[in-house]
Amino acid sequence: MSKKRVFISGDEEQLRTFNFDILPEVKELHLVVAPGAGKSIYMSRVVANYIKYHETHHLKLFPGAGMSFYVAKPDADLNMPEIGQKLLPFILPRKLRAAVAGDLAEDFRTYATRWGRPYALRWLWWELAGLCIRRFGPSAIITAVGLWCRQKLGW
Amino acid sequence: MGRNTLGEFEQAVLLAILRLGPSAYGVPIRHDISERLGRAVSVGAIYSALERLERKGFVSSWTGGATAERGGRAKRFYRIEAPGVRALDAARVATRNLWAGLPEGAPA
Repeated sequence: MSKKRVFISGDEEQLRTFNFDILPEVKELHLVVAPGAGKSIYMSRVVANYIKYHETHHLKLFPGAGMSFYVAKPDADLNMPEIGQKLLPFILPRKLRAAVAGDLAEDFRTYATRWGRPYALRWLWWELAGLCIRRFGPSAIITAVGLWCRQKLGW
Repeated sequence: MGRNTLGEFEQAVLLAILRLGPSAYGVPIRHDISERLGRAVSVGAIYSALERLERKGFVSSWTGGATAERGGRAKRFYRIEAPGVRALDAARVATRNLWAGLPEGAPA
């Protein structure tokens, strides 16, 4: 499961009485103490439970303070996009196709979980571009892009 | 690069395979090298080096089992062969000879 950040703001009382049980899949809790000053405290689930059962006034919450949660995201976001998989047969020899595609899918899942899908997508396109350049050479890629621009854009 | 000599990156790949043992396939090899060299290494670079090493007879490969997180695709495992071990030894001796007589650390 990957993580999605959810921000909940409220005053001290609201934060203190917030029912953490409605977010059973909370991974990490981040309490923004003073947003304007850019100060924040990173807290674990243990601290979240502590806040639930104890007074929070000693944490010195300021107006506009809030909490953000990392909650679980659906598994579909962790899968490599289909277009990436469709490109692989054109840029990889048959012998390595399954192994490289599997490695890309495995790493994509790791990065999407750890740093989010946009990061994983950037990484994937970078890797695919690298594989293309290795397979066809930079001049072939430039020629292909040039031809495409001429045909489609009339350059 | 000669047929029996190793480039720096090829050495890194062979050493990663040695370290990882029976669990040496693309992903852990790439992560091990990235961690030790302190820079990002692309999937393409790893497989190019592995193909070269296989052609030279330094490593052999076989297809392993598929897992769900890989979308049902099989892993390709790599094992270092005797010529690969000999090439690594030769590379180590060559590096040691090149450094012989020089003090430890960066030169002044």
